Amino acid sequence: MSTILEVKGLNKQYKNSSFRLNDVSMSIPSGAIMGFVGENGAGKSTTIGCILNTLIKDSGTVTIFGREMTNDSTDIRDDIGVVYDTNCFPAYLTPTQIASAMRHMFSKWDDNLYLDYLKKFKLPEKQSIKAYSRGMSMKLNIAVALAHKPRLLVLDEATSGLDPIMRDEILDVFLDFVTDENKSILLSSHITSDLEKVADYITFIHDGSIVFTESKDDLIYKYGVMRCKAAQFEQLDKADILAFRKHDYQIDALINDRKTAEQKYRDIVIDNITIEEIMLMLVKGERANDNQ
Amino acid sequence: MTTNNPMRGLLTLTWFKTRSKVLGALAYALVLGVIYLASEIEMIQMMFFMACMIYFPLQVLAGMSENEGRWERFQVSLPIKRSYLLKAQYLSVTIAAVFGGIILTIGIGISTAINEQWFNYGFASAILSSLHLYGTAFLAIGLCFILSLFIGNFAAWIIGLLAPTLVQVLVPIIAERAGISVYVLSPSVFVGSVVIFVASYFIMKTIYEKVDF
Repeated sequence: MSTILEVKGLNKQYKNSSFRLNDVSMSIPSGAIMGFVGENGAGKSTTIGCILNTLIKDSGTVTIFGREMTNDSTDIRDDIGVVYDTNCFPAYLTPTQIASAMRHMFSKWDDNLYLDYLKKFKLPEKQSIKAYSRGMSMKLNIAVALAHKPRLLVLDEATSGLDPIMRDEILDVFLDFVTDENKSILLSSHITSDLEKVADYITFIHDGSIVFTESKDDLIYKYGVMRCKAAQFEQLDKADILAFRKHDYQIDALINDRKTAEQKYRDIVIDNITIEEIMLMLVKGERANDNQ
Repeated sequence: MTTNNPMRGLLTLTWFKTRSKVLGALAYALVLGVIYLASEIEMIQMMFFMACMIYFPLQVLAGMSENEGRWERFQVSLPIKRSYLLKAQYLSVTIAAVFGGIILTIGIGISTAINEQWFNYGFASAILSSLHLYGTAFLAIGLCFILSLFIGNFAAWIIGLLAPTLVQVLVPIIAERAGISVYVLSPSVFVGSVVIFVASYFIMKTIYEKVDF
């Protein structure tokens, strides 16, 4: 399986800001959807900006389709579809006018495919975007991104703000997209349920640093949460715990090897855990090692 | 499958953008024409002075204030050379300024021809007045467009307002020293023009929101 996108040691610091992207690395194999998750301000959009070269990175390399992305890599960008969290086209344009510009910009632009998506998403071709709802304009942006047959789709919070039905429709489109094994998606979102539905891998970023990259199945089957009483928690080997959160009558401890923990701590309840809970535990929880 | 010609794509977008701006300029001239027909003959002079304020309503008409930043970010991700983006931006501004200028000139020319008083000043006076008034308009528009590339729309608009004010003050002084009389705007006309500008801004905003260009 070849790698579509590889990011190595990416660093970026903004002027007059304490935020910095710190040694970010990740890779997306072909035919996979990578969920990129993190709280607001964690560094998702900055990472995507550096990948797409819309932001200037301080150091690190971004390799797409086996080649390093630079300012002049127009042929690489020809194979990338980008969707941001809001409509990016001037609001007075109509979908037809957008097509008449885009067909000259992308070498593989397909008018029929574009019209198919417009029909599928029920978007009026002659109506200006300013009359579109948020959901409609997001669908239009996705239609434009798909109509030039990209090999990599980069979506920065593209599903946020959409209702569940619309999100479900769009997620189905993404799943269709990666049925071709040569295509991949980088899907940045903080709607973790979307990622649980479609992602093959999850990369979690917090405070500018990558916390983990795992396959979704590993996260769901290997990670777990131990529901402990205070006395039980004291007995735990802290090396087994990634993070913990104290509640009124219980302490939840995040573990990444559920099978071993089930054998080791037979009297403690170990539940399945969602990506959202993992995210909350890692961001808001205390680190067991800090407490030692 | 089509041939990749990104500059043509950018210019296509430029045309759509420019078309909105030119239509905006036309709508603006029409608003002022109505003011002219409904007002004293002197009021038409506001049109010249108010030309300095045309840029902002046009920007609103073109939807630039809302979406242009996002488009700027998005187009960097398109398979287009960065130098093309800059060229297209300058072309867009220039084409809009030229078309806007032509429409304004026609509007000003028609209004001036109607205004018989204009010709009573004599040939030299008419030329100087014309340069004074037309120059004011084009200096303002040109300044606004060019400055907006570097310092943002609002700041460009402020400077675009101040620069023609300076021209309005300086040209009559120079003309007086040369012994030539020119048409000078009175302070009340200036104040009136600002009031009408604010009103016309809201009219333009309403037109933009309600009408598909």
